[in-house]
Amino acid sequence: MHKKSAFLLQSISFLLERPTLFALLKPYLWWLQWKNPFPTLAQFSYRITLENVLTLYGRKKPVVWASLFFPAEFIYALDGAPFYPEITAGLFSALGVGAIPLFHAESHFFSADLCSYHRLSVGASMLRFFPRPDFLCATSGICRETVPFFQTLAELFGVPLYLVDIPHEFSPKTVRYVASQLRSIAQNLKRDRRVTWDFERPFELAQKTQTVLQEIEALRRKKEVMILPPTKNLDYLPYYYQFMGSETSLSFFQKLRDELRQNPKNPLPHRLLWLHLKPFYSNFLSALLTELGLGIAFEEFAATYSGELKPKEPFQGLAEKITVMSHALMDEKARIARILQWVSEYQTEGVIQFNQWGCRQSQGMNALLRKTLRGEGVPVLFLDGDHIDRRHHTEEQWRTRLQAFAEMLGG
Amino acid sequence: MYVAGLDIGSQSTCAVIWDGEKIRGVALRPSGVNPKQRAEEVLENALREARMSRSSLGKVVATGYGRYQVEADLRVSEITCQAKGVAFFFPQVRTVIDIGGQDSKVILVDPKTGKVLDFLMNDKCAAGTGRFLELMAEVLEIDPGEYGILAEKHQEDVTLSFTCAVFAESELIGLIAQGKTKADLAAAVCQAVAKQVVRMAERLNINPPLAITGGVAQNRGVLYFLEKEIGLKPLVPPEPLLTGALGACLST
Ligand code: SF4
Repeated sequence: MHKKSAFLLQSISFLLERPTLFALLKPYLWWLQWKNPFPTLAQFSYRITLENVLTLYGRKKPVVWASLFFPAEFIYALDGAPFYPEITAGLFSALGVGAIPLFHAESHFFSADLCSYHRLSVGASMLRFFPRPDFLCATSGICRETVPFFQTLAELFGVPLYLVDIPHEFSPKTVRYVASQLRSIAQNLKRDRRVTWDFERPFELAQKTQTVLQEIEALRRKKEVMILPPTKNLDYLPYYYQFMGSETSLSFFQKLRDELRQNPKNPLPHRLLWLHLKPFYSNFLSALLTELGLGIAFEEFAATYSGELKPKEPFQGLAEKITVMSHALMDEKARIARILQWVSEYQTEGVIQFNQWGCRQSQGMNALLRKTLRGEGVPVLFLDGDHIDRRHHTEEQWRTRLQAFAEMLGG
Repeated sequence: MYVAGLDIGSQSTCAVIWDGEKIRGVALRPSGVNPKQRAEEVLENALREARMSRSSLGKVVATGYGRYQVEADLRVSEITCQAKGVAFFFPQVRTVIDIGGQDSKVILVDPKTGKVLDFLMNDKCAAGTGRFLELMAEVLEIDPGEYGILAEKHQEDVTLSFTCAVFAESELIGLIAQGKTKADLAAAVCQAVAKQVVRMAERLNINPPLAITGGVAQNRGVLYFLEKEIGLKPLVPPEPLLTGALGACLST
């Protein structure tokens, strides 16, 4: 690497590892609050991002890294600050700074075939761009790459990793098995880190958030209103996962619901279901979908859990949540059944899946998914590319496929 | 109303002038490095053949990868246009395989309505496209037009890797060094393209009748292996490079 860039990268990591430096954000946050006591959704998101930076990099609380399907409620219950590297990889990509960590990981033998959510996260961890974790929690669902990825992170930072094994099949026995693992992690944390647990508040907030989310879903089911720009909802991923069980998620979704109620947009001619995530670095795709009249009525990763979380049996409830949500994505039949249900509930005319380069979880099911959907008369389009690594994308190829799909739906 | 259909592809640019019943003029040239200018030239040529002036055109419809680089009243994807263009020649057709310069497509068509039912396009690799044939022709030191004649003379079956154009190129150099004949290697290249296309087409189920379009449809070697792989004799429109532009005219 060029000496100047190496020095720059080292300086950035040095600064990011100085918690006191982030205290400088406080007056700015205070000013933001004073200036916008009733912030819009975008202003709210901006403030939350900065507050999160302050908490995580300023080391206000124990920083707990988790895989996407490890519930944040567990982390809030131990008064930790959850950090989801896979979600942050999306943020880095959206901010246009993904190339540096991707390149760093690749130059250290992390293959370019490895899923870019993990590749970017490993690179950012090696460069110390991500906030240093106190410990890590991960589940073996939904994809087989997650475990080795978290093992690598544990080794990189020299911190403990708490793993939850998720069996493929779903049954009461599986839920009990997952609950017993969560219980034992909780006991270990109590013993090793003197953690005290309080599930009451995060569970209450998560349940309230679920209610608001159900109201949002009801609004989005209405055919006459298309209330979010295509794929926009996937930018709200942190509120579905990282902040679930906190005031942040609840306030965000209350705000979103109110905005949707007040400002319904004109519907686009077509209503579609979006599977998997999207390229976060590109605004082109959303603009293209709008231009072609392809509206997105619902997204697979915006699916929420509607089961009850009881503070008296916290591990049972959380185990059920993890198992239900993972099973719905890991199991071909369960996933496809859920997709068909959304097609009917949201009255969508077709389905688009944005295939992530190297993702076995989603693409392994493509043949059956396509066959079943076509059998039900539902057109399906697979778009190939990468959600994080812009080197794998070509806008004109998306345009031709999407335009042909729109013509097929419209013709 | 007279309509001009412009198909600005990665390799060639075609124009068709349509009077609502029949083709009045056609023109075709390599796309070159300035597709906008090339499209203008091709349109002028087609108009000259039709003995018409630009002002008598009711509409210009553009398709192909360069469709947004030219002025047009309507822009339609090459998938819809290929389906419509082929249906003009073969109304019963149910599957279209279009092998272009830089990509290939498989299109399922409803013969009753002419609508596209489903489609697939190849990924980012040049294997299975006209560009692959051109690259390998350079290595074999032949003109791409010679593939058919050479492939007919092949004696030995040689299998070439068909997942990556760059790998295939070095593999070909190795096979030349082993003393394989040009005819055998030309056949191997044609077979590699055919296999790559069939691999994609089979994902959609090829329903007969099948038509092949695009520049590669003029390559007898590839056609021979396509027929062998699929077990179906494909139909080839009289002008396989013009179906996209004709389909553009028919999309109005
Ligand atoms: S995109 Fe696929 S491979 Fe990557 S983390 Fe998600 S499930 Fe795993």
